[in-house]
Amino acid sequence: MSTETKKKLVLHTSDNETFEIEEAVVLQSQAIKHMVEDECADNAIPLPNVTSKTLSKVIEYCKKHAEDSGEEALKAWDADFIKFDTDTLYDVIMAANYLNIKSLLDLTCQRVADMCKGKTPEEIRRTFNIKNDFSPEEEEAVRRENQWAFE
Amino acid sequence: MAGYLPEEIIEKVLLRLPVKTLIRFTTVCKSWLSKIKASTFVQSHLCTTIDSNNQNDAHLLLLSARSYSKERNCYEHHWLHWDSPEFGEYSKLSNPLSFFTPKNKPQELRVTGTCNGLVCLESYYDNSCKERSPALMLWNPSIRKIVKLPRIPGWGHPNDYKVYRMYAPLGFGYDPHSNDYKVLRIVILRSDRFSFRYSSVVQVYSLARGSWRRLSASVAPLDLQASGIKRPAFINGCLHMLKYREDDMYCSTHDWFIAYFNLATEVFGEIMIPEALQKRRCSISRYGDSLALIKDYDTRDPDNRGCEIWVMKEYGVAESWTYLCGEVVLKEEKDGGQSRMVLFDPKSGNQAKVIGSEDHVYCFMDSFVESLVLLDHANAISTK
Repeated sequence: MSTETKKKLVLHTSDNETFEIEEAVVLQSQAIKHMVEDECADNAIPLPNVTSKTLSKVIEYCKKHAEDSGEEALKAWDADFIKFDTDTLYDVIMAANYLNIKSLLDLTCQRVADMCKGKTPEEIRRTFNIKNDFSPEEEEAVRRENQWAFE
Repeated sequence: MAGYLPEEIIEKVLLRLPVKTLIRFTTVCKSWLSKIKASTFVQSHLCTTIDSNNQNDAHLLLLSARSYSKERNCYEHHWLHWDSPEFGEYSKLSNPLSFFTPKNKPQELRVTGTCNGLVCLESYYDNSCKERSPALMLWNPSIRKIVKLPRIPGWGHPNDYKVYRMYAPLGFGYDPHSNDYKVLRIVILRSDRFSFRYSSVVQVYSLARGSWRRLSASVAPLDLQASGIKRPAFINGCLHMLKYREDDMYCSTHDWFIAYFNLATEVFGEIMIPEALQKRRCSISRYGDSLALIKDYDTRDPDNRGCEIWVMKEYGVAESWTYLCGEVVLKEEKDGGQSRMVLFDPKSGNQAKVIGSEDHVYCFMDSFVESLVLLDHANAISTK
């Protein structure tokens, strides 16, 4: 048993909570890694864009990926992990983007993509809050050119 | 709500969507239409798809076949299958000829090659002209678009040079340096039956340029002058074909080598084949991303029913030719004049099963990836 104390980093969320996490886990975030390398991380690292609820999900991911569980097991764990509600999903995407954790960003974007696959263009507009700026004739013309894609 | 997801994240999500979904989403709004049709997006989407397929070990194969009706009408069929031992069908592709009127319909349609989701098609019309010059087109079945190539230009040759026999193999591939798709045509003209006097003309079509170009005579090596270049294999930016040196026209044994054409530099080169395959009949192919040679087995010899696969593990390094065994491959077998597709395990030497229908004549198979290529092309027309 190693008696060496692993270095911990303190993260401070937008809703004023602090998390004390092992450095090795947190360094999967390229953003935090740069802060540590630039020696800006002596005290708590402030994360004004991330809530404690979101950060705990991110930490859960990073902890699992810091372990050596094998590729197959990790893929299965990821598939199970990603099953949260859409609001949490979007919060985790934003956090993964802000903290620059590539594998988590890829995983969450893939999840959003999988959810989009079956949607109609109108459902997509509602999901992403997009205004339809086609005139009815314009939209019909684009649709007619690729009618097969709508069947 | 996802309404506040920034552009860069939406782009990352779009890159992970399948082609058909993206085509549907071009009607979401004008900015999505222009984003999805942009050349940079088309490129990135292709790379993302290739990476994802590699990560999930989920690859596709394009399979083409012809069938004949009782009235001897010829029909073409194209399918996508999973590149797995089960060889399950992924989809049947729509007919690329749907935009031809019955009067215009070609007699025969052949696949030159496929690359990055594009399929190069050769259509032959019944004409009495000795020069069978096909009409060519590039087809992306995943977005149902076609670009017709301009007519292949003729070339001048002296009037007293009678063309006894002409071979004009075609090759199709991608030039990563200029993000361009090219078609190579090597025209080999043989002047008469008795003298082995040849002349060759090399023509290259570039999609980016939109035209054919004839390469200077000095580019084509003399050793290309011989018959029977089969479909060139596209690997590592180059088209590869098996050739033999014809120094002595009465020589019964030939010195085989691989001639390649680099699509970026438009220059020919040579690769040595392993000593063990020198005196054998081989076919050139691709194994993963590497150049491969398959030693044809002799169907008449029951003791010699094997196929050897040699893979060039390090491209261009002659010493890296490696003999593989224990792989299940798909192979065409001629049984009493008919062709069939069989799953063959070189290790056990037994054929595992016959694939597909015996009514079909299978004529092409290669790896395939679904892509948006040609969506950004101004002259692409829609098939149904």
